[in-house]
Parts: sequence; structure tokens; C-alpha cells
Amino acid sequence: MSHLAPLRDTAAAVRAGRSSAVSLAKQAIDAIRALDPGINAVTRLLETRAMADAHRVDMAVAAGQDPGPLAGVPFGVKDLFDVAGLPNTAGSQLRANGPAADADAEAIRRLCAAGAVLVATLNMDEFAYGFATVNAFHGTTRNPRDTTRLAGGSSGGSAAAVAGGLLPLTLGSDTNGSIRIPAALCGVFGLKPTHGGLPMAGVAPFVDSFDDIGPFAASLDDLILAYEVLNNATVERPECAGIRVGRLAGWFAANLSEAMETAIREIAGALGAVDVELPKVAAARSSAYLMTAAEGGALHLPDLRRQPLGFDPATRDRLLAGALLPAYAYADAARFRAWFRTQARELFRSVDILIAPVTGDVAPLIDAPTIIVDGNEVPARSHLGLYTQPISFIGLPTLVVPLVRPGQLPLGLQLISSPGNEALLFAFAGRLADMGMIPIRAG
Amino acid sequence: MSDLSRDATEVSDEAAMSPVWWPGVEIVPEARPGVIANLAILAEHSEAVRAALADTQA
Repeated sequence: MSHLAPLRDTAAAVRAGRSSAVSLAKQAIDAIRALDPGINAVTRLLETRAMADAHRVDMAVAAGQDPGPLAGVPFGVKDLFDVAGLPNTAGSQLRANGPAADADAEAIRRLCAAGAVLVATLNMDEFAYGFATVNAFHGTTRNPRDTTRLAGGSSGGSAAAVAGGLLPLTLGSDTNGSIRIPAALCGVFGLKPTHGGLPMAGVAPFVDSFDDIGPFAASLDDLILAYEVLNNATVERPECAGIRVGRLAGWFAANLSEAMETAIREIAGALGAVDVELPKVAAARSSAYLMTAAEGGALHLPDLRRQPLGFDPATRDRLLAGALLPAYAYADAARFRAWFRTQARELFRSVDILIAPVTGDVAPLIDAPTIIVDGNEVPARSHLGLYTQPISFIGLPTLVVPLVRPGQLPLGLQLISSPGNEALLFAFAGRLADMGMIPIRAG
Repeated sequence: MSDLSRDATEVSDEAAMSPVWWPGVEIVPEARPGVIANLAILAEHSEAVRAALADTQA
């Protein structure tokens, strides 16, 4: 059995003794050794731990015990989750020799308690501040669909590890788009849950008021299973009949490539979606930008004081500027967020699901990391979140699904619901797959 | 103990030119251009939010 098989099949085979966790872990490690040099998704290969954990899973099966619904599934985590015995680097050389974590992050603990096997930590933008996974310490993660292109970020290693066939399941974090953007650019499924929906214990924070963690996988079914384990609850998918779909227009319909515009128009037409608008989206993005800088700057102030030269210069300068931000700017942004959240709540009186692009176009080239916004060429690292920042800023759950584009670079769609409605998102994505609009499994 | 009652305008020329913007914090020379550029961006975002807030209360 391949370590990249559907997660339920993998776990069923291990639980039945038809496959072994040790052989699956070995396959994952071999795949990382063979493929990662061309992608640079992995920061630490945890071979000793993985083989010991896999052996424990196999011993449990041999003893007649059930290791759980993810028995033997190899997985990786963005390099900001606590891993027992290792420093949590948050992608920075500043933390490379920091204190070892006493225990695994709660999300890792839940996956391992369900039989999954942690194999690697994965690359990211330093302190999760970026949309590119261009890391001064670990290097740039390359997009497995075209290695001359960015994987997106900041959870770029997590998306690339799934897209590149290194691992079948990974975890990342999303503050302004850091799960959604790399999932879309690498062509895999990703979930940013309702704010606070999944456990943040043992995760290095960035912007507490809108940080979340979530899974990446190659199929919707794999993503749902991982979410169920992380959330300690079974997903009961509701019926989709009569579901009201809105296509976010205005801000979300501007700056799109022809391919993205066509794809969204076709999907909206097939679903009978109506055009709807959120007001003042530009100010929502500005507020997210300000709160990110201020909270991030405050968080890292001790290190900015003690060792400013240890930061990636691009991260340091933005964090320092955030630490200098006048208090009124943060207070204004917080007031605007409360207003904007009310507007979104009103919108969900008339629709159940919103659809929107993740990015305007395919992954930018590594050697020309820019995108065009309103006719201007701007850095991808800070602007790829154009369509994601206004959504996570108010904590809405968002499922990213890849579009069917055989032979072409990936594009992704955001499916957005009101808070706590992840089950509806999964059901709706299932309907899109049934209609042939998204793949059952990422290619 | 600090004299918190002193006039905040009583700053020496030397202190006014210092790269220290908060006790114990120095904006290292390497960071100054980047910090200034980022502050300009943040200022634009801040103005945009102020204007939007004013609209919502109009």
C-alpha cells in the first residue's frame, strides 16, 4: 500500500494488519529524501521518532488493540507546532537553539492519539509573516506543480509536501491566508476553520486575534477525516438541497486573471449563485494589515530589542514598524472589525455559502515574485492575501478547493460560511465534486 | 524612581536624535529604511480605516 493512499484506506489496512505503520513511515521518509531536495518543503526529518511511533502502532495492532482512525498515516506539521524534545523555531534562526518543547502541540497529540505518525516539520515564512515561504534561514519552498514558482505561504511547506507526494496529510496555520493561499497555488485541499475552532495550544502565535490552525490533504474525504480527529467530533454533513450560494462581487471580482474570472463565472452560473457584496472590503484588508503589524510587533518586541539582527530583515522591518504603530491605528482597526463582522452577519441572512477566489492568478515565479494589483506591480509576499485577509480577519471558516484544470497550473476557490458551519462547507464541496467542478482527488 | 511629572517636551537634542525610540530599543541602522517604508504603508492603511469608519458613522 502506498503512503499516499486515501487516509481511510490506509488506516483500514493498518488496523486489519494488511499493511504496517512502519512500512508507511519508511515510504514517507524515502519519498522525502528522494523528492524534497527539489522542493524544500521539509525543515526537520523526524526519522527516529517516526519509526518508534510507527512501531508502537504496529504493536498495538498485533496486541489486538485499535490504534485509531488514522492508524499509520504519516503526517507533517508547519514548523511552528511544538514537537516534544525539539525547539519550536517558528521558521526563524532566532529560535533554532531555543528551549525544547516539553510536549507535543495539542493538535499533534490528537492526530497521534488517532494512530497517525509524525514524520517531519515543514517550511514557512519566518514567524508566519508572509505569503511566499521565502525563508532566509531555510530557503524558499518551490511549488511542486512547477518548481520555478512559489508555493505560497506562509504554510508553503505544508501545502507543497502534500502536492509533491511527500506526505498525505499536513498541518498549517492561517492568520491572513497562510493555509488558503498555498493550498490554492499548490492545488490541494485546505481548511481554515472558524476562529478558535481547533486547538492552538503549543502553536507559536503570530496574531492572536485571528490565528488558526488547519489541515491540508489531497482529497476532500481525507481533509474531513483529519478535521474530525482534530475537532474530536464526527462531521454530520447536511443536505445541500435549497442551499443559497452567493458569489462575492466587487473587491473579490477585481484583479482576476481571465482563467480565474471564467472559472468563477462558470461555477456561479451552474450553482445559480447570486452576486453579493461586502461593503468596504478595502478597509477590512487595511484593518487586518494594521492589526497584524501591531500584534506581531508587540509579540516579538523582546527579540526586536535584544537581537534585531537575528531576524530576516524583511520580517524585522515590518515587525518594528508594527511595534511603532500609534495606538489609535489599532483601536480604529478593531472598531472597524466589529462593524465589518456585523455586515458579514447580515449577508449570511440571505445566503448560506459565499464563493470567492483565493488568488487572482496562478503561482508567481520565484525569480519574479510580484503580482499585478490595479495595474501596479506589487510584491507577492505581502499582497497575495488580497482576497483572504478580509475573511479571516473576522474569523469565518473557509474551505479551499482546487479547480479542475488538467495540464494547467492550479487555481483555488474559497468556500466561506458563517461561523461554526464547517459541515456545510464539506457538504457543499462534495456537491461541487459530484458536479465535476472540483476534483475528487488533487492530481 | 522615574520623574513621571516632568514635561514630555524636555528632551535633549542628543536624545531627540537618538535611534532609541523606547527605553532599551534601538532601530539599528540596517533597519531604518525598511521601517520608515513600512510605516508609510501602515499610515496609508490607517488613513483608509479612519475614512471608512467616518463613513460608517455618517
